[in-house]
Amino acid sequence: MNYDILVVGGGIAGMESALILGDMGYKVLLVEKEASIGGKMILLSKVFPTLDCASCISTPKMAATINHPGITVLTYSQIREISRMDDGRFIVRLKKEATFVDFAACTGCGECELACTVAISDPFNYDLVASRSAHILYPQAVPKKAIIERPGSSPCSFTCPAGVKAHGYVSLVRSGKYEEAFHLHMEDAPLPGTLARACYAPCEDSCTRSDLEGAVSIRAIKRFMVDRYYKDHPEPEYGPPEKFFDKRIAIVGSGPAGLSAAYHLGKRGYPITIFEGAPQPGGMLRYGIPAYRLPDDIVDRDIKNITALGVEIKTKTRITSMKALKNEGFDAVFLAVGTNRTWKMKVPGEDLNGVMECMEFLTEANTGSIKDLSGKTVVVVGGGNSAIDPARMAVRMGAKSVVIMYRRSRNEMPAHDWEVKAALDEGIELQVLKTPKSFIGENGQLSKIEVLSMQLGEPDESGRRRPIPKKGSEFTLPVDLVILAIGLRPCTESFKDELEENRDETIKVNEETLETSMPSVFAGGDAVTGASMIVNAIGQGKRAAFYIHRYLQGESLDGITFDSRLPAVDKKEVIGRSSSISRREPIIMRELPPDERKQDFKEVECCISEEEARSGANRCLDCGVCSECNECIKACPADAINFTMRSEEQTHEISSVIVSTGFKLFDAHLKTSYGYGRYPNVVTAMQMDRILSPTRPYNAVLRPSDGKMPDNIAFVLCTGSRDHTLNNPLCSRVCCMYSIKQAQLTMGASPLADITIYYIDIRAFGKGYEEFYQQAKGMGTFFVKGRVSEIEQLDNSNLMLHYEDIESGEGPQTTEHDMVVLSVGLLPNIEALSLFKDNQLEADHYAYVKEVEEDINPGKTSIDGVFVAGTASAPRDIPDSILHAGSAAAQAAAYIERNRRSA
Amino acid sequence: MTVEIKRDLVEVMRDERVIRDSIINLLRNGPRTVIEIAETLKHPPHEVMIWVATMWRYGAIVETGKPDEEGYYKYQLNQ
Ligand SMILES: Cc1cc2nc3c(=O)[nH]c(=O)nc-3n(C[C@H](O)[C@H](O)[C@H](O)COP(=O)(O)OP(=O)(O)OC[C@H]3O[C@@H](n4cnc5c(N)ncnc54)[C@H](O)[C@@H]3O)c2cc1C
Ligand code: SF4
Ligand code: SF4
Repeated sequence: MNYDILVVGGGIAGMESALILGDMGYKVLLVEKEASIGGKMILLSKVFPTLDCASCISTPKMAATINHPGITVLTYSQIREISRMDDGRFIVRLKKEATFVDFAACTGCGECELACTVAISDPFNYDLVASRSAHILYPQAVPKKAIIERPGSSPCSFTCPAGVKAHGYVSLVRSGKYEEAFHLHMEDAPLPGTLARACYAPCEDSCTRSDLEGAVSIRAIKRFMVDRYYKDHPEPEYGPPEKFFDKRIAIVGSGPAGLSAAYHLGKRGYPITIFEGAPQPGGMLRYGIPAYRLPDDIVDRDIKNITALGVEIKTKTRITSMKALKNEGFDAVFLAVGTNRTWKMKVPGEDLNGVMECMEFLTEANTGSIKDLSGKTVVVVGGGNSAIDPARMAVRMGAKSVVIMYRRSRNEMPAHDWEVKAALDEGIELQVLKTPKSFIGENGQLSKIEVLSMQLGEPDESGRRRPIPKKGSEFTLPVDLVILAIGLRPCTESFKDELEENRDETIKVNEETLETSMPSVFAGGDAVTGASMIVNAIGQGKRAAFYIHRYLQGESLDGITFDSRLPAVDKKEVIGRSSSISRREPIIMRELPPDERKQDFKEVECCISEEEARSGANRCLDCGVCSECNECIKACPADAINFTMRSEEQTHEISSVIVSTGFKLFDAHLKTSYGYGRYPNVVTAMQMDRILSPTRPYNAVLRPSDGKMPDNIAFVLCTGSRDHTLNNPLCSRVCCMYSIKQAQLTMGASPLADITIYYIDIRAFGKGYEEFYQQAKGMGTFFVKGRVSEIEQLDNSNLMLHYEDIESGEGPQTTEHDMVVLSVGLLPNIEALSLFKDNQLEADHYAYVKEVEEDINPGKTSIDGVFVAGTASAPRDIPDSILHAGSAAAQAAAYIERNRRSA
Repeated sequence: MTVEIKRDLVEVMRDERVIRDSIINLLRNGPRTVIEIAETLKHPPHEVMIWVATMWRYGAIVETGKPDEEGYYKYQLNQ
């Protein structure tokens, strides 16, 4: 777009320039980085010396600006760079941040803010009170629209392969909204009971808090929320969809991938049949994972979440042909047959009776075909998680001794460390750097293993050190049962003539859409990825459902992205948001003691308590700020929340620029002797203006330490101004007058309060200012001439001021007050200087934007065609800022006209 | 009681999501000042002040009448 003028900054100066130029007929683009125009003036209580209400005089200007036909306002937008084009005009590149709220629909009702579960500090109340991730900047914001602070995905939610919003349900549990937490989980993954017990929780590995004293116990929190929900709701609260599509879908395999696909497609309204070869549904969940980790009743309850949608599960039905299914009239197939075979070791004696595959053993043990191993010696060969489960099962079945034999060292074991530890606690022996050379039997029955010792060589392609046999190290080990757990193999042998496969027998698919080589057949889960984890399979089922739906609706699958999560926020940046983070120990799920749990298949882990769940959830650092708990979506009556919104880059051509980027406030922490940031009752003048304003953070003028109405307040002038030690020799021009204003307003609110102003000299230079000063004196404000050297906090949270009373000549003095206001100075906003390419905008000696002809051409900068308005070039009060903005506007108009005439 | 700000304010503000329920439970037994809430819940009063102000802002609680002689308001649940 082309504009005549770009105004950068929508404070009172920027608005004034824009309005004047708009009224003259110029096309103005006003860019403001905050989500509202109005600058700092709108946050003030009243203005000196008239004591007019700041909002009452500011809001009409804000409304006039936003509604002006000649002014385009872009809020929540950052200038990237302004550069000059060959024809002398400027080009501006800017980024319009995503608000995640559709402004056209938002009515500014604030319901989202009330519902939001994430508390943030409120910068517009200068940290006196909390706000929410979803918020309206302040009541008079223009535009009065909500925005959602969402700089990126939280690492936990970003990591979850199933897209479960871990941060969301953690945040809901923290807020005591347990059912909502359960429902949020169900939006993405239908097997929460299973995941709460058997998920390897990659979210916890990526949790920012794991870089501190330990990850948020996300899985334990999930366990609490699911167990509570299942106790209250033994049956799902929903039934089948009212209407079904006339397209039928077959799903082969009822493991987590198949169940997840069935759930997501079932919710969309497809009639679904799951074909399962085993007698009961659940795949690995039922036959692979032992009941002491995942009880059958939990698997059953989880599966009800799917069957409640009308999904039919045909068990004991082994499918061997995709074509046959298509011939039966299914419009699409999802193949999710998993990996429940084991690779052979290829050593002699493997076929002996007494040598079992891991899945064969687990299935027989889980279904009760093998019940008792009393007195037996059992050796499990392998070092992954699939070796730990059969070993721990064998212990529970009474085996005399159980050994896990692994060919590398413990460090290289792929099993999780906590699983290995649990096995060792239960008395399982770990024999590392050993491998079977042969299995020896008598009459076809296994009796011994010939074992070979190994040593570690150079790392192989997996990065782990390669095991090398030690010559002559063979020995024999008497054994009754060997369980081979050296890697799981896909169950895809029936389909190899119909579908393309990879060398490891997994099915070849398009990784994005999960389409196989046969049209209308999709595949996912372990059969595609190789042995992985439950949550991966659930994610694959969800992904397949997304693309199968598109396929059946005749929509294109090309160029469509299933996973549109925002990139994860940087963990270092998250930790850097706080000056300190208190140590809070992770919540640990208690386990039954080893001696007790070895006796039977009782669940080993115990659910945490409600109190533990909430305090555990409260360790969350709200990394992505918004937790994606979706409460705002539910609360918004206008359906305005839109999480698919993304920030937008824009480019505009401009004839002239006005810089009205305002000022920064002195950071009172830097004046360490005044105790700001340590003593709650030492506040800044900006905080005091908020406390005095009609939209204040408290119900009255109260002090922050304990909510008492202060009755003896001190104002300390020139904090951070006229102070060479702090590198700011300038007078801020407004502090004397705004402090006198605040003194008068405080007296109005608490007529009996004592007010003392500590000053160097009072600068009452404007029209009516001296009278305003005298009026404050007349009202009883004490004025003490002298710099405060130190502030000390007393036992009652009052403050002792150390100062010199210059006029009385009595030397160093001390006085007690119950609240102190630091009249902080104005500083240059140096952001203005980097707006232009190559930092061409010159600064003056104090780092304000330089006015090159300050005396005769106020507003003219070092760049031809660029003008400065308001406090961007010097400290000014509101009337002076407005006057200066008028001058900048006139200069910009003259510049444009001059160029037009000469063109 | 003398108080110093020890914890980062962002963390204090986050705690409101959990502690608000304890405050609500306490106020079910009648109105309380910030100091009284702080004493019962054993939290520093300046932190309680932030939580009370946030709850007041979002309409969960309101002040009762005028402050007491020492200048403290009592807060009650917003019916
Ligand atoms: C505690 C206090 C009390 C005061 N009380 C009074 C009073 O009673 N009466 C009085 O006359 N004056 C008072 N003042 C002074 C008054 O606040 C200023 O005179 C006035 O706000 C200046 O307006 P401005 O537009 O120049 O700057 P600002 O109000 O600072 O506005 C600048 C705007 O530019 C935006 N911005 C900054 N950088 C960029 C960028 N790169 N891109 C886009 N946007 C950007 C900012 O977000 C802001 O909205 C007080 C000041 C303080 C600190
Ligand atoms: S999704 Fe939840 S955390 Fe995010 S803005 Fe909405 S209510 Fe707040
Ligand atoms: S701190 Fe919270 S939001 Fe951040 S990764 Fe951990 S659980 Fe997720």
